Amino acid sequence: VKADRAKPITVEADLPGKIDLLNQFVVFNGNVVVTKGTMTIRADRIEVRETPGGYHNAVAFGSAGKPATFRQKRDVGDEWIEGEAQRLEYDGRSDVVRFVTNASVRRLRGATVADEITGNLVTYDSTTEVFNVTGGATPTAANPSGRIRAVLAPREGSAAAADMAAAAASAAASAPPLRSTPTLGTPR
Amino acid sequence: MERADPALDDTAGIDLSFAGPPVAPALPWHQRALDVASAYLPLILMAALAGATWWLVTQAPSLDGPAGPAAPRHEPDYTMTTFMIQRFGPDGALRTQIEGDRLRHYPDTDTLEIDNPRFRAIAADGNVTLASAKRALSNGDGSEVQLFDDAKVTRNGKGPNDPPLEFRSEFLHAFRNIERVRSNRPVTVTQGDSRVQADAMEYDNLTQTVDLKGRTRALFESRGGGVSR
Repeated sequence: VKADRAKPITVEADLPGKIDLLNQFVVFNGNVVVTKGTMTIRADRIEVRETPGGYHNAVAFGSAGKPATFRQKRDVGDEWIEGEAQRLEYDGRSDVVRFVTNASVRRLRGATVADEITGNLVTYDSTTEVFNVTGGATPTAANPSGRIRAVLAPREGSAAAADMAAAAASAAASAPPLRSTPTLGTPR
Repeated sequence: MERADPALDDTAGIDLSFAGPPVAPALPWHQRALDVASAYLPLILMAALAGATWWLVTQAPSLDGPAGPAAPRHEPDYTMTTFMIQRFGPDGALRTQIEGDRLRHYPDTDTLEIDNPRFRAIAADGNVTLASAKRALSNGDGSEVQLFDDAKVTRNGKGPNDPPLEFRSEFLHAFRNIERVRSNRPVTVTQGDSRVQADAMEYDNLTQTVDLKGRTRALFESRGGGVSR
């Protein structure tokens, strides 16, 4: 969401943290939640650094079991971008989020997952809303070959979407509806 | 001794003055008593006087001898109102300045208690630290100061891009020698547009780090985001 750019960043954490005045960064530990407008980043440890230009960058470190997660609303419709990775770098000035190692980013329409991209490094620029993803050698459970994997759903309102919806409706009649978890943070 | 026989008293022409004055004839008793009295009067008087003085001394309240170390009573031995204390370094530069409404010095614990204090400390590198509170308790040489109620310590930044750093809490404990500020109460650390709150904290000026304890919350205004000031 473009309006997020001007919003202040608020951070909350449970465990003791540290402010390093020389390098101008603050470390937060323990279920850290960073919110900026509609964007929220959760992780075990987050470092917020102030750039000389007055912007703030955040680096979120997930632990082995619990990756750092990201969630932000898109300008168009009721669409959300959700993603997670071992390490998450948010650049306040350019509003680019980099998901590093075991990255998977999903675009959700309402509660259903529209697109999903997994790879080693995914960068998402929330102003231009452009993803780009680079593959990596590290196979993950979701992506044994380690190559990039993208699942793209047809755009809403397009003919293809209508057919798919019809097909899904008939299939749904038999299969229980898939529901993605509204709250994030629990590993997929 | 028996007097000499009067018959032998024919020595009229002989000078007998070596024998002393001629013995006066016996006087009546009251005359003699008077003589004795008048002779011994000064002695009696002196004796009476001595007795009186001695009596007086015993009656006088005895000064309590050098009292043992009196139990230190927590009472100020000096107070100052609307005062200013300035302390200068060996090179003559102003080191610390303390202003306040009332100051009480307690000799037993050698502490200073100041109402409405305003501290100003200038470090060797010119770094100015200001501190103020409703009440302060400082040790003798001011190297350790405890600030109570609305305590605020502000360390001025070194340059334009180093905005002043401010600590605000109900209690702040500043150690000048080891250059630390400590607090075991919720504290707010503000610098420029960033504000961090924690349940307790310890600031080390030497390593320029603030250890935040307990739960922490922070708010970072993004200056660059074109937020209207």
